[in-house]
Amino acid sequence: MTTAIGPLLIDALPRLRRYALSLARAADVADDLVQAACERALATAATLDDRQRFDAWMFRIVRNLWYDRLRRLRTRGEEFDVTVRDDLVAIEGEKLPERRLLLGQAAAAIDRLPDDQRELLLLVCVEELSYRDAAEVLQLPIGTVMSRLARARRRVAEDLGVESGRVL
Amino acid sequence: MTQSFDDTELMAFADGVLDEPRFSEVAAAIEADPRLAERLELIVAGGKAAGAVFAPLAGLPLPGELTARVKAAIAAHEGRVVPFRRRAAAWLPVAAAAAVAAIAVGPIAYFAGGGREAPLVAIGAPLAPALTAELGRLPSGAETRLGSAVLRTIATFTDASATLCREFEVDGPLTTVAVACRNGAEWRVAIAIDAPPANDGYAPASSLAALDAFLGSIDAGPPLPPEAEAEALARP
Repeated sequence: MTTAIGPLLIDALPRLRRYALSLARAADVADDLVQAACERALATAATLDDRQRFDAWMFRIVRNLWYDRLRRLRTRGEEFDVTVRDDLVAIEGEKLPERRLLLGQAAAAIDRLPDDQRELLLLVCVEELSYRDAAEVLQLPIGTVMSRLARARRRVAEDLGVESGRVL
Repeated sequence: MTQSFDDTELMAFADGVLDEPRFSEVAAAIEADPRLAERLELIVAGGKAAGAVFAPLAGLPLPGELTARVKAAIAAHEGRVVPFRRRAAAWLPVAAAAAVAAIAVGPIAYFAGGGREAPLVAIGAPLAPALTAELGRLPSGAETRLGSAVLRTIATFTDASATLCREFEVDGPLTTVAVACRNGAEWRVAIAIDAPPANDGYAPASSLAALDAFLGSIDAGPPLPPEAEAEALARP
């Protein structure tokens, strides 16, 4: 059967890659993840019933693949340390030294979040998913999503200092 | 101010998704209560910080290899006509740099030689007699001269309604990639795309995205093997 998700996938590539980079922090790992997610999406396109939620559906595939991979690494006794390989080019590319410093501090504050808070922050404040779509990606009740997200945002700002947060 | 607002409500307010009348109530409370305003500011700043760190990552140029691999996966999944894949592989390095020049909506600005001002390929119109004759007999993979142009037949396949169609390219000042389908004794152009000329003929793979979409939409079958092609072309 012919699927029409090809063009949607191509359009979504820059965002899927951003999301994968924010999870994996290493460009090669992220690219591999995006490719695997696209292949998974093509194979399971029949389960996508609502075009409007294509983004949420794709982010869910990327996320699940990533955590599957982490789990598999862990069962093999390996640990993938995201802080070792940090391909956050956005920070390196920042020309103003003060701002680069701030961005580095913000990245560190986000890293210090518990995993469940950090991933919500990424989905809503970076990928701009609605609370509802984020709830769908993480398979959580929307109330949990909102309280967890509010906690994450507050925690980052407190960690960073509200003055710094204001500048960013 | 006796009302209290939790962080969740402040966040929904900040994100513009809090419903009335609660929205107006929060707005009024923030005006009146600096501590509430400060809590709101923390929630806003935390979200902005995440955006500032990660949002620019979507602006990074996509590695050509990733795009190519995803396109190949899409093509493989959609059972696309084999010659494209072969060509795509050959043209991977070129693909990133080349772009589709135009998707023709009228007669393509390419004319057969000899000063005759008749378009060789025009959408929806019957093909020029010379081209009709060649499409009816030239096996895929062959090349022939038509005036100052070069015709290259790429593949023959049937669509969902078993109509016989051929993909071909015409080289002139531009390379035109087209699909024509047989309708009685005529061949009608269903899609035609002008691609920038490539060094050795063959339109760059990136020009073919629109063609791929089209082939998907008509549910194009796999290319016919040579014997089946010859037989189908010979059949009226």
